Amino acid sequence: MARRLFESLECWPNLDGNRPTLPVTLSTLDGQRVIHQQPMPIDTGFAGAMLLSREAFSYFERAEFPESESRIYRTLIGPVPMRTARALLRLPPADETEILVDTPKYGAGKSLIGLQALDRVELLLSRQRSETCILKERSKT
Amino acid sequence: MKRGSGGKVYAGRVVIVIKVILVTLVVRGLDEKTKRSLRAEAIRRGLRLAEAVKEAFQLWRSYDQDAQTFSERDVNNAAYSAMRQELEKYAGKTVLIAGGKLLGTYENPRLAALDLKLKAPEARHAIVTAIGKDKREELAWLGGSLNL
Repeated sequence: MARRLFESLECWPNLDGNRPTLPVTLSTLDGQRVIHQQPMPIDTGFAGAMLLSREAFSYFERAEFPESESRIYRTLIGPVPMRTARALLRLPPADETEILVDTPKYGAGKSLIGLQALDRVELLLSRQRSETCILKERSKT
Repeated sequence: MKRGSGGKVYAGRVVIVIKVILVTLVVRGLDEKTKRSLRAEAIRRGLRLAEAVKEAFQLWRSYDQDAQTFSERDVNNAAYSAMRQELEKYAGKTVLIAGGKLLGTYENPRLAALDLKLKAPEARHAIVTAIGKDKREELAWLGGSLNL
């Protein structure tokens, strides 16, 4: 397997010393910025793009999915029905992209970054340095 | 003449009025299983039964703040369900539903969101969905942050 080299573009300290985070900027579909560069924890066990608290989700209710088409998450304790809406996400250094955000139909929820949101970035989760870095692959020349 | 605690004046004696602020609430028809699990949950959380009921009630009330949104949401979802078959003819397009009405069809969701600003700026809730593309997904959520 060919060796690949990466360099870190920018790093952020982990929340509470052990929770990897990235600064998130979220806007509504019509361009209203709701969350600006707010550090949010990463959960690679969450297959969606982003989970939001009920309060944060309220800003995206003007572009919500029908209830019959909102997502369901399979968990160890059973299915968790969600409310799903569209939002615009900007993660450094990627461009703004449309994603689906979820909040639990029941309960207050919480904010975290899931796997789908990380599709477009190369990431280093460094336990030793207690930081999370965005990487860029070095060119071979 | 002495004045009683309730503001009334009585001759020759002191009247002590104790306001009873702790009430006993009898709940009829609560099944044994629910009663036992309520009590067990209260113990698990280190609460007295009354405190647990109060906490649960406060949580219930906290959702009332969204009552208007819920009703708008209900109306929009009911409208979507009623129109579901009819909307099939817009396959590939994005539809916008607010105030219980179909406001328009669009090439993409962003155009729908921009039009919502013009057509229903006061709406707190709207459905934006791409017909034939947006379908219910089932995804995995493993451990980690599962505590809702």
